[in-house]
Amino acid sequence: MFDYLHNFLFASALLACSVLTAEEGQREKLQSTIDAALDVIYSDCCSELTVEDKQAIVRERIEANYDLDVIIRRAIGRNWQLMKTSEQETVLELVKKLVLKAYVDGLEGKSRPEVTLGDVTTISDTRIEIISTINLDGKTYFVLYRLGRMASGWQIYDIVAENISVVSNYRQQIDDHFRKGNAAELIARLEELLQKNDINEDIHI
Amino acid sequence: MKNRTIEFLVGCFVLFGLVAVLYLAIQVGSARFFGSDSYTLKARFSSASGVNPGSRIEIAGVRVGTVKDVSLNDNFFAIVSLELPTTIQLDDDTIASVKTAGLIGDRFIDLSPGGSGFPLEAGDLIVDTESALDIESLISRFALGGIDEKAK
Repeated sequence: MFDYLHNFLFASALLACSVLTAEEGQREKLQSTIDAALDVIYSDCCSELTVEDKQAIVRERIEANYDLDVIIRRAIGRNWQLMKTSEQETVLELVKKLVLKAYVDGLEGKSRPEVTLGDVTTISDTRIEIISTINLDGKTYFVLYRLGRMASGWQIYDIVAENISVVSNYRQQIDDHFRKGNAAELIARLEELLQKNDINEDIHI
Repeated sequence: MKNRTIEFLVGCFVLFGLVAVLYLAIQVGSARFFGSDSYTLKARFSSASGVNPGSRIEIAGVRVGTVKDVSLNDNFFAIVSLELPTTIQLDDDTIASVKTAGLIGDRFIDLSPGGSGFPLEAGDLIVDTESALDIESLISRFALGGIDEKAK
């Protein structure tokens, strides 16, 4: 009986440690992904690359660790069901391109941001949050990464910058769009945004 | 016989008054006689400033429910109990935000329903939340600068 209890406690402790390690591991994974993406823009290895090539490599490095579909699907919310499969695929692809273009264009010519990740906060068995501070051009911004454990592993499902959720912000815009428009018009609008030279000036859907 | 009639009428009048007071109390308190047509969800906010029991809950600008309770948990997060009708089913990617009606209006909870296909059950916790923008701290940040800003 004592052996059974001892084994049970040992197994429980081992499981608790492994869960803790798995969650702590997410911090390292996120930090390495952010660093790898920033290296594309700031390290000497990629300085000769075109903007399009940089976007492609940033995408490759992010998608090596995280599924971008998760956060985009969440932003689209219930409007996902209003689109045909082909439209869903097109929207996913266009939004990814748009986000990467905004990311690379937004950082080009600026000094490298200093990203420091804080502690991992466990919300539940399937939800964690990692707070980060970003120093960019002498200013400090607070960004919260929300991660969820899904069938495909831990994924970023929302990013909250200065108390404003990216998913909530874009879901609101997409909801507004679908109240008066359809998927074809959304695709047209996304394509129009992609054609703009300075995308960071107007990224409203 | 006449006295009995008067007593009966006074009794009716008093009873009517009591019913009227009870009705008024129920209306003012937004209470229900039977609670089976509603369920409660919880939402976790870093700040629920201005949200009180009785504050309204909206979806797309339409009032759908009422805040039942606001409390503090062990980790110093505000836990807001949301009372919603059973006719409104929300998925687990629903986002709850504290909003302000106008610039200086009342605070309320705005729900942005998701589409994950995994419905929230009574008592579930919404962790994807946005606290209200703190205008005072925003102004002071712009006016005085953040304490974390590097000296130029």
